[in-house]
Amino acid sequence: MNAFVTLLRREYQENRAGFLWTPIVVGAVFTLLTLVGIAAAMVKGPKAGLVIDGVPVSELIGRLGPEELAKLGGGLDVALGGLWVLVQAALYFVVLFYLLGALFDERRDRSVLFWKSLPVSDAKTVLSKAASAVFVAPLIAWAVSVAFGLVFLVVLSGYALWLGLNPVTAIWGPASPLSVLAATFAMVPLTALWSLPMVGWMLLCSAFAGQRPLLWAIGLPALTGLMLTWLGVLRVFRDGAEFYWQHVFLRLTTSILPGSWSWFDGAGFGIGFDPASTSIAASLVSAAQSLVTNPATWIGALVGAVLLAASAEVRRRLGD
Amino acid sequence: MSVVITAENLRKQYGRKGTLALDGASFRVEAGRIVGLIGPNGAGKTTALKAILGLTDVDGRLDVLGMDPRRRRERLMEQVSFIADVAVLPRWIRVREALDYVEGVHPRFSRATCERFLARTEVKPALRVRELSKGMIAQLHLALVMAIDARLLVLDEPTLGLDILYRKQFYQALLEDYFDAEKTILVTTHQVEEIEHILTDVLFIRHGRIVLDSPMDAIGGRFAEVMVGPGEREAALALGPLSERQVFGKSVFLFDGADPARLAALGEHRQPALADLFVAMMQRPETAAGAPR
Repeated sequence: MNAFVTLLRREYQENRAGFLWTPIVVGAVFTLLTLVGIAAAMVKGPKAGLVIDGVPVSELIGRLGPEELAKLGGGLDVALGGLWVLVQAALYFVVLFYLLGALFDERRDRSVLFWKSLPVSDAKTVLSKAASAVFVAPLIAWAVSVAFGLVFLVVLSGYALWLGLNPVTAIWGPASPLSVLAATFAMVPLTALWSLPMVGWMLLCSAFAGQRPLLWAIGLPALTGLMLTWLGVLRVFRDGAEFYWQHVFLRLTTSILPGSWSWFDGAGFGIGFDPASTSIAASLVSAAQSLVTNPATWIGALVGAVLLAASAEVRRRLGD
Repeated sequence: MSVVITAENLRKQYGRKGTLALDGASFRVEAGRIVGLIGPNGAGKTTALKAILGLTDVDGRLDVLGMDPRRRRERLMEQVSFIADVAVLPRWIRVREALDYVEGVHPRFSRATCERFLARTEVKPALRVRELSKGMIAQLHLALVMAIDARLLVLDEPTLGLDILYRKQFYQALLEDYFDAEKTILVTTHQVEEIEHILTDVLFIRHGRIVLDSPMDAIGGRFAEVMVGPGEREAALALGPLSERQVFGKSVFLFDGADPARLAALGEHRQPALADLFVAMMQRPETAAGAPR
């Protein structure tokens, strides 16, 4: 088997709890809440055969205009997106702690001596850990989101049937699960590109910290910012302080969050799930555009590459 | 005979004013040998091994299998295996996953061989390392390493903390199932007595320098131990012994390169045990050390 695939599989095996089970637990909680909501609606809400303004519930969907149908579909998509956001929030912590431990735990338990007894370079090792953080974990989280999204739609279909509605026209027609699926998938490589400085920084802290890599990873840039602000150094530049916190501090500590590149350009949270205004595809295109046209993306990618190389070098020298 | 390791004038200082871990150590290791690198704590054993494995930078010339270990460790590791001690296998990994991993990254690993070695033990594929006893972890690590067709095997205190049964098994397995004329083993341990009979060569290291570099079968020709009564003690001292120790009211003298005929006059002489020789060499005044051969 390809050696790099072996390295990725090893990372997955060590971190199965975070990579696989954490998103599953989040998805399961989401499903549970959905079920509770539906059960409540079944008890208190409209019943099958109910007539609203002279229209039986079962015929309600057929009477909706295209605009109202779009709103219904948009609402369903927002719910699917909400599931994805919850999973991503959990994934943030999973990946943060994964990166901080990636080159730290092996030193603490001395297993680094075993890993280094095999013909794998330090650069390849570091790359496999970066790839696990930006591709393996997010893709698993994405697949889990998709699976639980399907469960969510199936559950809603059951509720629609119970109401006497046709689930195809009430749920699967108006909603756009395929677009949500494709858009959230496309966010993985976009986020990977944007998050390189954070990934490199966390791995570097993991490689050199004697104890508590988290303290270094968050504390050092935070203290630096406070010092610079306090000393007034940043006032030399216009909006210097704002620049530091936004482009250095937040970039180093939060950029693995999908869409975090558009926090400051007024475009909202990456993919806007505003049902009425834009389509998912259009928001994805605008998110991608705001990413690749931003010079900060490419400068950060360069910084990230340097930090990754530094992590590999620190790991190589750690026998001293 | 091809040379596996050539080390010339290795120097390593920790910190700017720190101690010299290696202070001009030079030695050669040839193919098909089992070499014991023996020295007290802090003598530079581990630093020397780390340098050979490319885990630390040292000054001086170092050639391992034609490569400079300071560069391209990953290429060197295709030919070199090592066991640092029993505690370094990652505790979360399952036995099966460890085999998968080594199989995936090592071109010279034979999974079938490894599984054959493991079949003789209690180590089961689904178990995690943390569920294994110390002895079983050593068996697993040894099975992984013996299934790699490497040219040099480096063992740094490989049996530390194991009971005597596992220690015996460990070296027995190495000799019977692994070692051959194509392979070379470099081993450090404090349990000198246990590896004495398997070594072909011995290197004593003291304060970062090699103080003895000898094939085992040359030890008997060079060093001799004689037990003499109080009457002959003066005569023995006149021959310039390396050391003297008292056993049941008699003196045991250890000689380096003494004339066998004159020793015979003192009494029956025999080859010293490696451990006694080690103690004698390490307790010699510093000035006398340093000049091997």
